[in-house]
Amino acid sequence: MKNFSKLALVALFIASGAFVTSCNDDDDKAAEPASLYAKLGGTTMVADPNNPSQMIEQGRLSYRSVVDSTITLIVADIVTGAEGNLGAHFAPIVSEVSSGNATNVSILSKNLTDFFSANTGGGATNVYTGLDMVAAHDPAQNPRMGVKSTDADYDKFIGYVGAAAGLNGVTDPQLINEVVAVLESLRAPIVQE
Amino acid sequence: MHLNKILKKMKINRTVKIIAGSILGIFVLLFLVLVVHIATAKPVEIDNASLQISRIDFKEPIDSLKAKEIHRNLKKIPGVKTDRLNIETGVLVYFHDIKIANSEEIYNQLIALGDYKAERFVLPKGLENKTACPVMTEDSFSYKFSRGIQRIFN
Repeated sequence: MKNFSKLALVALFIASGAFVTSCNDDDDKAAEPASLYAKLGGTTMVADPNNPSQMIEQGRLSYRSVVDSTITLIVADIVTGAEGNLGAHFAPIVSEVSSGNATNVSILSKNLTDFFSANTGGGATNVYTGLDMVAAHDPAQNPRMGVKSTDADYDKFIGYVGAAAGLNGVTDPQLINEVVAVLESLRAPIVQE
Repeated sequence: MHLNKILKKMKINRTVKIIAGSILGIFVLLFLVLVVHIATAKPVEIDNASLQISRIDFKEPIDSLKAKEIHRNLKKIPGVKTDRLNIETGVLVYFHDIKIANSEEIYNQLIALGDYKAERFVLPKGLENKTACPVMTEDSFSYKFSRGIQRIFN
């Protein structure tokens, strides 16, 4: 009876050990697919092409390049006084009035880069501190928004991002689909008209 | 009896002193924490904070040769970073370091280099003082308070 108790105790010990091991989430972590941030270069440090003395994460640089190209394409299409070219939302960045020590375009570029980097797997090294998407795109809560966005505006914006991704060498359809999926997940809070 | 009164009064004075000292101590401690916190707070870092986007609209036909010439001339101007010219619409958009040259200076230098028929894109009045989405509301108390504190220490 005494031996039986000892055997039962050993069996219980082994079983609990096996249970703890099987619950360890290391295996799950190893199986996790790479984040979009990692696919775009992740945390590998590279020289910043705009300022070679500074280093920047490749994932952040990829996003920033696409963001800056998107802004370039939108600014190129602005027709003063005309509707449907996103001018009401983006024209102010051409102004050389700066907010403190930073230009309007550098602040917008930073906000968008932070937002996409932090929310697609780069959250450990990138932080977004701006308004939430509903507040940022509601003229009543954010006076600088000008007018509410329509579905057509947002379709056009996604088109600009796709073109900008192509200009920056992001041509893998699977990768572009992932970027578009992220943008589509934001449609509901952004489109308010 | 008289001694008792004095002793009682001294005891009350001592209690008041301890309370006042504690409150002062806590206040000094909290103030020190606030000062250390503000002094060590990192200002918001913006990649290339002085980078500006500007635009020039060409009023003459642009072919690929002319586009290359414009690109070459633009690259000669100090402060210009990247540029993109749409041949079909004749719209040139470029990024430049505003600490080195503003859009008017760059426009004048480009026209001097190539005598192009082109106009500098200038925002209509009313739009130029606005900032673009999505940044913190500048009318809010939190924005004004944090800007004030940052200006003292940075």
